[in-house]
Amino acid sequence: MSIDFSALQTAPRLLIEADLQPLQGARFQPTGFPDLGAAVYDGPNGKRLLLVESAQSMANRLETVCWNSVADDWIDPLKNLPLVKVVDKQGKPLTNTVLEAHRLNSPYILEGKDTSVFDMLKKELADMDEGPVDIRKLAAVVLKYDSNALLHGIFLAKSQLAGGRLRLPRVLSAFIEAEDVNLAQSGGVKNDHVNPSGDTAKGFGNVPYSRDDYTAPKITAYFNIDLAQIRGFGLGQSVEQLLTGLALYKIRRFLDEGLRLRTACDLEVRQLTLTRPQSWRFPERAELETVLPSLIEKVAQENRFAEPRVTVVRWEKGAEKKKKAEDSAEAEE
Amino acid sequence: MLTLSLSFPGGRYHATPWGRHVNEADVAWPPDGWRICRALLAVWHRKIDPQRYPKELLERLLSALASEAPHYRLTAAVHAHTRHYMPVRQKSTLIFDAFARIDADQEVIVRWPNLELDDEQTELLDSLLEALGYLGRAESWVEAKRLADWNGELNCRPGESSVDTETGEILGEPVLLYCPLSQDGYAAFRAHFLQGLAARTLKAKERKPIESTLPENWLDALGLDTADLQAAGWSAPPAAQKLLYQRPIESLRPNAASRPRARQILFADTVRYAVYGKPLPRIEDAVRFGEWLRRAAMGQAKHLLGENSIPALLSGHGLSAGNCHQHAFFIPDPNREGQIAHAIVHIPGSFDADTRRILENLTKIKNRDGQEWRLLLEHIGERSIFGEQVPLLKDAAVWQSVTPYLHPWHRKKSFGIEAQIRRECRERGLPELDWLQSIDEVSLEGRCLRPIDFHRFRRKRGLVQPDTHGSLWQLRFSKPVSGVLALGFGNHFGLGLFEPLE
Repeated sequence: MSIDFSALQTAPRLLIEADLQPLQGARFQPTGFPDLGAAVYDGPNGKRLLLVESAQSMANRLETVCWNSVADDWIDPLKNLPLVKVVDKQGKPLTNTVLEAHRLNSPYILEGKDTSVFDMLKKELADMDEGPVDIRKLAAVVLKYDSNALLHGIFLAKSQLAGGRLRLPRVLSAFIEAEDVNLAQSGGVKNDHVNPSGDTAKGFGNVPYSRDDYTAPKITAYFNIDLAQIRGFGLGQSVEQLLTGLALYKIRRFLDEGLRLRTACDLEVRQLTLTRPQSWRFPERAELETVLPSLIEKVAQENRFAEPRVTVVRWEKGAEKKKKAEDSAEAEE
Repeated sequence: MLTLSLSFPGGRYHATPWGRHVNEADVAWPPDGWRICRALLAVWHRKIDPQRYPKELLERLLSALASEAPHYRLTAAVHAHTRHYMPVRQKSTLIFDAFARIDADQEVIVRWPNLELDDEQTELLDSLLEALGYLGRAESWVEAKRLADWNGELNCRPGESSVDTETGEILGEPVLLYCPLSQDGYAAFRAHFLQGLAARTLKAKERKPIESTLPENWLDALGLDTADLQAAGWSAPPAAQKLLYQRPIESLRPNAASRPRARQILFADTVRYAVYGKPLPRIEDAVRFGEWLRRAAMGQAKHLLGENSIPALLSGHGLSAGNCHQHAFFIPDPNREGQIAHAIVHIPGSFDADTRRILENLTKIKNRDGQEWRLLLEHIGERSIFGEQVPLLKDAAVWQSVTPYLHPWHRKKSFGIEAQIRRECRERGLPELDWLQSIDEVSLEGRCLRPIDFHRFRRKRGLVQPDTHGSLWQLRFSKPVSGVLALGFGNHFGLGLFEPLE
């Protein structure tokens, strides 16, 4: 089984829309915070729109579905992709670049006493301190240690690394939006049969609560793979195919398994449409699962991955530096 | 002339204007020339083969784009935002994420009215546009292309605000947009600035970041990192100029204009009004009342649609010869005392939207002396749903005159009133008449009316009226007939009106 990537060689981007619906009933719970509520806004046609899942959150979800947390490893078809794992002093797994919020830029990797990865990055990206950033070189380094971050996008916000200018935008971005929404308000009481008037701050007592669900005739997940950006990395056809295949696989797996976004937001796919390029056929999950291991192997043979593929960093809190307030607004998410 | 089309497949455009904090939740709308040029520059860096398209060519292209301020055709956009907490290590900060919500099918047009690119520049521009994945933030996916011929109207241009001299109304909304300085403009600004800088005594530590953000090369200046510019203390990029544009008022609205929900319009051919006024017109003046009612409807039609667009089925004018009785009936609907307490307008061919609007807006009628009666719309709909409540609209086989019947043809020996009634019924497609009988008078509560008691003439001059006396009848059809049943001369205005005989 093979996938014909040739039709994608000239296409600038791949746009996919998945028409979703609640798995049971008509209500769903959108993203939101207790004191902010849901993100509802107007569309230009006057219909009320609702953000069901933001681009940042979707990026994380697209990675979570690739990770086998029990085995603490990639799921089978993605095994042997490079990544950086963080272990604690006892050598127990702590986190890794697939799940860590800022990927390779995680403080557990770059801010600890173990500076091995930081030094390595500094060495490999040494000549970028002045002049424009060489995107291709940066991409090659990211591919080597944390291939997935090429799709996720990365921002190495450390002044010692080319003055904090090393960044790659997202290649795979996605969000979910619902159209023409209506509020479904409900509520209830947490009952305390022993002492209904107990101290609620300590978890006793009856606590009335309200909740806002929504209904919508149309919920759409939008996916965008920037193929021109993948080609712009200049890493050769095998890498291009691997990254495209990986992106497609993430989407497939998310739509198959990752649509339980919250307790009360379990969605299923009604229809999947490839909007651009329309002539291409979205490969099935089984096809991608067959092809991906061989693509990984092919790229490995080109010596583009770090060996061993898993780079291990030991996390031990580094000495507190006297530092200026860090520009938090620049953090990626 | 160069025209670009920008559409946003994700339906969103995120861009924070220069000098504004992200939490001010402002959106730089429309996408300015500075942002477009920088996006193209970034695409060249990231995605384009520099062997095929060298840097010099890019510089020529961007400098051409910078030579003129673009004009825009803006689509409807709504200023929206989401809020979330950013999980930063020390504390969670509340972030506003503002964007313009745009219809994914709509396009924003950007036009350089006097710019002509050569073939090389055009080819590079097309490649850059094709590879452009987003404009502004990474979430604002964009699809950009060059349009060879577009001749729509632009609605956002550089310039001072204009005012309608007659009404004093402001015609545009001012907005400041950044555009790149031309190469010469930048060179002049840089020379002047550096001269000023040399005159000041600054420490090298302070001087260096400023100088490094004023590179000699224009393209390098265009591509400077925003963080570096901010670190050097620039409140605006040195290679950019601020231009005042006028965009359409409310082109970035805080919320979508409230629109009436699409109303389901049911079929309608009849409307009934209650008539208020003292005293109420009497049934003896039925034909007068019918004429007043028509006149009021015509006046309303003229007001709403203009003199030349009055629906033919309402006016009864300009209809084909075969269409004698499909146009409007203006019918008085009397109570038991013979007062016209209700009025009915019935068009057998049903109301079109315009007619419906006219009749819905009809609130009063006047007689020639200026006396007014208020009309209150009771119901508008299909004739059959008035059913049992309105006798004139019932289905019945036996009918009796409410107002006198005036035969429409001249009487002849073998063509008397009976024969004329039968012929009229035949021509109208009504069932066969089993039986008909002339009666002398109709009785109301406390009064009996003979034909002579009624007003029996139309105001319109030049009408042929073979019958001036009138007669009253009882009719029995072989099958039930649906009201309104009106026959003879002036039947569209209340003469020759029948009601079911209970």
